[in-house]
Amino acid sequence: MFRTIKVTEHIFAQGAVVNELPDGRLEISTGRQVHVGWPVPRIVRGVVASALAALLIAATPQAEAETLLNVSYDPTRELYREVNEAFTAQWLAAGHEAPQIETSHGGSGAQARAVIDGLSAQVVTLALASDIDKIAKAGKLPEDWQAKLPHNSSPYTSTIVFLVREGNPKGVKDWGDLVADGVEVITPNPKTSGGARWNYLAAWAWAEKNGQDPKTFVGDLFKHVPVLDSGARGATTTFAQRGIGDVLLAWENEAHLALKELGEDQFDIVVPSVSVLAEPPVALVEGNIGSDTQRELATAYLDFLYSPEGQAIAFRNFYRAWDSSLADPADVARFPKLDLVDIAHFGGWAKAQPEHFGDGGIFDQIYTAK
Amino acid sequence: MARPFIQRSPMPGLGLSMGITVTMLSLVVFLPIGALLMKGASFGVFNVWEAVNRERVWAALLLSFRMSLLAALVNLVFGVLLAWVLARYRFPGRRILDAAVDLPFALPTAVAGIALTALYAPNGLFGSLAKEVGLRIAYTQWGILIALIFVGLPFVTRTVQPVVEEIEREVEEASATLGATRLHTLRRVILPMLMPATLTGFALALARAVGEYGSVIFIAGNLPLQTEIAPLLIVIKLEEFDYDGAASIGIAMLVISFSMLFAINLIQIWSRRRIGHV
Amino acid sequence: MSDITQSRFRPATTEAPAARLVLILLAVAGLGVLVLAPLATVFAEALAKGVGAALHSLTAPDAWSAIRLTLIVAGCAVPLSAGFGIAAAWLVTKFSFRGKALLITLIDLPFSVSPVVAGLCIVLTFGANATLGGWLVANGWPIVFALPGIVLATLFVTFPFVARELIPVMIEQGRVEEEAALTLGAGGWRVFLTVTLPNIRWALLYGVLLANARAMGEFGAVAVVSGKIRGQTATMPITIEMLYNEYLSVAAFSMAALLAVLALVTLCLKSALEWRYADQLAATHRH
Repeated sequence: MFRTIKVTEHIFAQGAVVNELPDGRLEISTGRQVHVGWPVPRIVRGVVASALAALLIAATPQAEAETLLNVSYDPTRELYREVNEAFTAQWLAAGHEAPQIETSHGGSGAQARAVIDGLSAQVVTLALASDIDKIAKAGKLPEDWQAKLPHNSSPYTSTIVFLVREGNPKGVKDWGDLVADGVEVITPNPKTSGGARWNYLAAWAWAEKNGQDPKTFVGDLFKHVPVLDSGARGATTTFAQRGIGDVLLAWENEAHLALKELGEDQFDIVVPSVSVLAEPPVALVEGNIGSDTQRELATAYLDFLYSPEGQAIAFRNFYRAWDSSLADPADVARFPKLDLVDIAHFGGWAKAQPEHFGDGGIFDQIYTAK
Repeated sequence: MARPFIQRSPMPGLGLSMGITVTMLSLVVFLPIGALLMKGASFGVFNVWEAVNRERVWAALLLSFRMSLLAALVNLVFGVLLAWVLARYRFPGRRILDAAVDLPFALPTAVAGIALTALYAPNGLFGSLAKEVGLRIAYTQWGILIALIFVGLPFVTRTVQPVVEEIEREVEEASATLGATRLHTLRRVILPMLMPATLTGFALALARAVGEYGSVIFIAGNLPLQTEIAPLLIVIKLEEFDYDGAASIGIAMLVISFSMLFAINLIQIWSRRRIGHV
Repeated sequence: MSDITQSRFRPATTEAPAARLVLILLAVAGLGVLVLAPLATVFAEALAKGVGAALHSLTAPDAWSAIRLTLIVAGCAVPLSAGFGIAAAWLVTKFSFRGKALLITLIDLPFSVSPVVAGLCIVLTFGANATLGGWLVANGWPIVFALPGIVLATLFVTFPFVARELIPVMIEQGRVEEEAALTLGAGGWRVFLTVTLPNIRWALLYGVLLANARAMGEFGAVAVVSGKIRGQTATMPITIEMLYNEYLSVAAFSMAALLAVLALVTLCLKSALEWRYADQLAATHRH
């Protein structure tokens, strides 16, 4: 064992302990000499230990009100901020104690990975069913989770629309116009953004319905894309603030939000003839439920999303929900009817994901085949 | 006779400094990187090679390393100049410049990326100027270069600056007394003294640029085979839940960076031994 | 300023005024285009709706908890990396041993790892599915998605700074002074505190400045291990990203501006020290 000892006031020595004297002094050997002196407290060990202790204390959750962590994806921040407030009020009114509801937002895939790696979410509300499937595969919730709640466990849906510059100078009306000469299209990268996968699939569906070879059409479309941002927000900035491109492919709710935040007089929304029915699913993560009261809270939270109040909030945040009984008719009237294709048309995510977006899939071939 | 592993030295603190260095290094660096290498090992060396040996991965690696090298070279020249100016000259606004050097670290990379893109996009302040002369910066490889110069800027300056501040004026006076011109003194006396620190800064700026992700993705355009950097490929692999593929590219980058840093450090120690410092 | 204008007689240890002016202008122009312009953009975005809106956005409880968390994380990570840096620089510069280049390169290693990969490494080690991580979680000590993971990620990315600042300076200085002190009978700690430390204090300060700035601004590695829980594990850079994604660009850029200011607080400290020790500095340079 190596120790440092103090030989005289200013002289220290360090070496292997040879002997421990009865008065507490140590005899050490430095290899060449033997010194006797008082052991120096192991500062380093002390510092490390106290730092670790401080970290652990700080990290220990305090016992407080019942907590709920909802791990969600990017565009749902405004939605769940409102939902959390409304739900808390309802929960209190039902005679419970005030719950502590936290939400976490990020890319859908990254959020799913975080839950798999131990982020203790009781509720997940992600963009793609395939992401929740991954969590199920890790054993955190049953494989048949999607059958537990109505509408494929999707309390609200959305679709893909076009955002164009004021007055639609390039005359973009439908998917076919996007591959015209001189039209530049902005979309995030389908490899990193869940929303962009829907953009791609919507284009695919339109080509199928209009007698074009979908693979060629989608390949053409991506030749008109000058910038592939990694996320939906980055693409919106590129289009709206950097002035790049003529058309932005976006979630319907993001397009409305961008219009509201960045100026209604600068952009128009164009609804194509065919688009996709995106069903962002929600689920209770069985593996992270700590107690019966927590289960009760999490179940009530998910049920609230399907309640008329919850559905009204979804409508107000530009989502296409199911039950419009309490919603503002103006919120509902915003959504024009269009031909919507859902993921089942592509054989479900389990098939579509690897076929189109997997390593070496059709999307990769667009860029590697010249 | 072979050189002993550790040469005897009258200096105290060998055990303590060795202890702290090795312990912290193991806990903070070896353990996590070991986990990465283990992941690669369990995937199999052949599979790692398969995951890396593709046109798109090579294109991304080549782009990342080429741009990083360029950016580090720019930083090398500009960083030494900046360190000299900040340490030697007194002029109004020096403090502000001195403070500004650390900013690239203080701004989160995403914020830096957004701000740089705003400036260098075709409708931005510098971007519109560049457009006049027919140059596109944002969403091209030039944009990547700008972002990488930005993130690596503090390294060279901040490693050279303390050395400049420690140079004793007698050396320069002696050189001048012996009849050397100022330029000659700078080249033959000052620059060799700054060499180790400059190389260190260069190596660090290079390494940092290779791994940079947050700021580059905003300005790069991210088109496969053209403006797609290697760290983006790792993120893409992670999105596919392909930990093995992500670890493979991570290991490839680690090996290349490590070899480059190691070579630079060897050159440095070798040149120092020749000059006779250690 | 006085140096440029007043001295008609030029000492042999400086450059011609014209050369100096050119160098200064180059430095100003370069930094202006590369660093000050983006910073100005950040402030312009933050103040787009007035000072009041910018300040108001910083008083939200989530903003406060992010600021507090960032300060705690930097407060844990920077001293640890400074302690490591001093020890490593001492080891590398005061002793001769084989494999030194390898050791220095190993210290640099965290820089050559992409922050995203750094985060991945930590998740692979301490995540719930790893052997070590699983054991820690089972015993109630979660590392990832809690404060220790964020500190660890920050420590990882700031690890080499102090060591790398100190090593070149300590190489320049050699070990003659320490050897003299030892010969005169001083002990190890005394040599370090009274001989080495005063010699390396500026380099140490630069190292701490850099480490601190980087610790506060780190996003990539922290984003992977943070869990992004608002009010709990969201550091300032992560909160900035979340606000930006919510189209709250004033709030996002206000916090970015504050972060820049916070990280530069240490620079004021440096200026104060410079001012206080101006005599000593002048002595080392012009005796």
